[in-house]
Amino acid sequence: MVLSVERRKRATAEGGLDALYRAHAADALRLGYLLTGDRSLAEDLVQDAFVRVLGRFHDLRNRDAFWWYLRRTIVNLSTSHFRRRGVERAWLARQLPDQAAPAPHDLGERDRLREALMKLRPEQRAAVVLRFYEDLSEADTAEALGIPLGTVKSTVSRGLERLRNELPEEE
Amino acid sequence: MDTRLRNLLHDLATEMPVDVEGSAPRTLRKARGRRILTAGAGVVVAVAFVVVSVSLFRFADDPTTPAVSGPNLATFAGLWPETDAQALAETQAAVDEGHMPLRTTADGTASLFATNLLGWEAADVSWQATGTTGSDLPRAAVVLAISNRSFGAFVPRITIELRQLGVTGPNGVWSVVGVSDPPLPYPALIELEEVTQVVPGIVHVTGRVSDLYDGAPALEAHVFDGATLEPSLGSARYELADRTFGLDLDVSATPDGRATLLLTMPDAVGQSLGGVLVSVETPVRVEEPQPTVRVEGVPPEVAATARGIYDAAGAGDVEGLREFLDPNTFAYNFDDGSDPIPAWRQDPSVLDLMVAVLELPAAAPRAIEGYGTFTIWPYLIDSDFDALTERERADLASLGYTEGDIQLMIDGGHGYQGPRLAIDETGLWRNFMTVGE
Repeated sequence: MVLSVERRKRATAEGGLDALYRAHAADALRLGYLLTGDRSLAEDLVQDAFVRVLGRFHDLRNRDAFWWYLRRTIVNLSTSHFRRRGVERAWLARQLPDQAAPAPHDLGERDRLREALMKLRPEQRAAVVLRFYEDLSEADTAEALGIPLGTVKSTVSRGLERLRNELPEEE
Repeated sequence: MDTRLRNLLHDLATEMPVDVEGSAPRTLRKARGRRILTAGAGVVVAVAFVVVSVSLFRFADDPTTPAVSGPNLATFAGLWPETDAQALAETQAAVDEGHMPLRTTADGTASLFATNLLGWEAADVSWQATGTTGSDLPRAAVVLAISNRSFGAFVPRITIELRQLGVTGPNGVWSVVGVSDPPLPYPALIELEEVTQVVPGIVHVTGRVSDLYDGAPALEAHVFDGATLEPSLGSARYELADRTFGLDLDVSATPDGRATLLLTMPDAVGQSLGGVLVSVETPVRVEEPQPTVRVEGVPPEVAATARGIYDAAGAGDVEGLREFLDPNTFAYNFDDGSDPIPAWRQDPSVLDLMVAVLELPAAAPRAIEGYGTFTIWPYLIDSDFDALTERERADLASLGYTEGDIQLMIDGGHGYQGPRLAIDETGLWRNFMTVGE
């Protein structure tokens, strides 16, 4: 395969990389935050994901494909982070009381959601976030997580059930 | 619940502060750095070896080509593996005998360059030949752009110009005559701006690296003269602090005042991401002739004896000197008809003096009444000490005489008063004097 001049210019030009980062950084950081519940961790994780994808990604003509790779990398890094270290409970106990300073009018609900999300297993949390924040279909969620469709359905279902318990509807 | 959860998630996500402007430089820098550090490890991307037409190539006559001072490349254009016509002829002879088949193709030679000088794995060197070879040119020439499969598409290709400098055609040996950054509009990894020998033995190299690689750790410069980086004529590692570089290389002398500079950007596993190969000027090494017995113009029988004496004395073989003399006719320091061997055995340093004397030219043969025709070393016995040349003074110094000693000889008015050695016309060694007459 011979890269065209235009393609190489796009792929390797300073502006190309910079534009990719600027186009996706905000979404990536917010996704990372929902998956980790921690701003610093989200920043580190997203930076690592960008570094990995920019370092390997070679089909820059397709910006949607870039986000697909980036999102999958963010999810994988977050689940790996919690699974590998096995410190999720300890981390929650230590971090949750000091979390964000939300706006006064919705302080309680945000806190409860964040806490509820962090009580989910990393895979459950990722599945729920991809389905209801990224608005992916179950099939796309399965592809993004690299797991069977049936597993996505059961994982999301159990995750939602747990969130309902943690976030009861307010009358 | 689904809608409420969506709204809550989006609301929660807004807690994440987003400072794209602040984080972009750091992240992009790390991303580029990672590309350098992991370049040898990873992604298989099919690209590479592209033949570019000769007309695009920008080595020789493009005004934007870096100013590279040095000897006239017309003398021998090859930079690698051979750097002179004799070496090329030897390689061609080996190829004619069936050796080194890769050297008979441009892509094979380019692959050898990548594996030998850039440290690439042979399996990673990929190519696609789409251009034309110069079969209709006076010298077959081709320009190739090679790249490493494992590096990925971010790493620019390296452009190599090759020519058949001797035999052309299917059996002719190809030589690398230039390696540079790709011709525009391809991005350049290493751009040379100046390569100048600022003073003899110091080559100043400046340039810049691509802005794609500001995370790259270093450049390496190697000056060599031949197929391998060793023996090195000079090398340096330049830690990149920004996109520019400038380094001074200590370069050893070469016989022809010319060497090859290879500039590389090695990754974490030692494979170079880019390469530039140019000719550089070096100091000219004047080959001092190895000291030997001086028998030019000397009769054959005399020369044979002189060589024998020189070899035996040089080896410290006192007994070996015996075969060249007859004790009944030999004179050692005017002691006619005596055996000098016992005295030389007691003081073998005399043999060093014989060697020094024989390393100077001989005087013209002369007839010695009652003895025959002698050839006498050194030629200084005939020198005019009132008009000594620099050469003669240097030769006197080689025998251990100081300027003061020389002045004494001049003042004495008797000419050369140093050691001398005589062999007659039959090849018989007749005398050795350690002092003057």
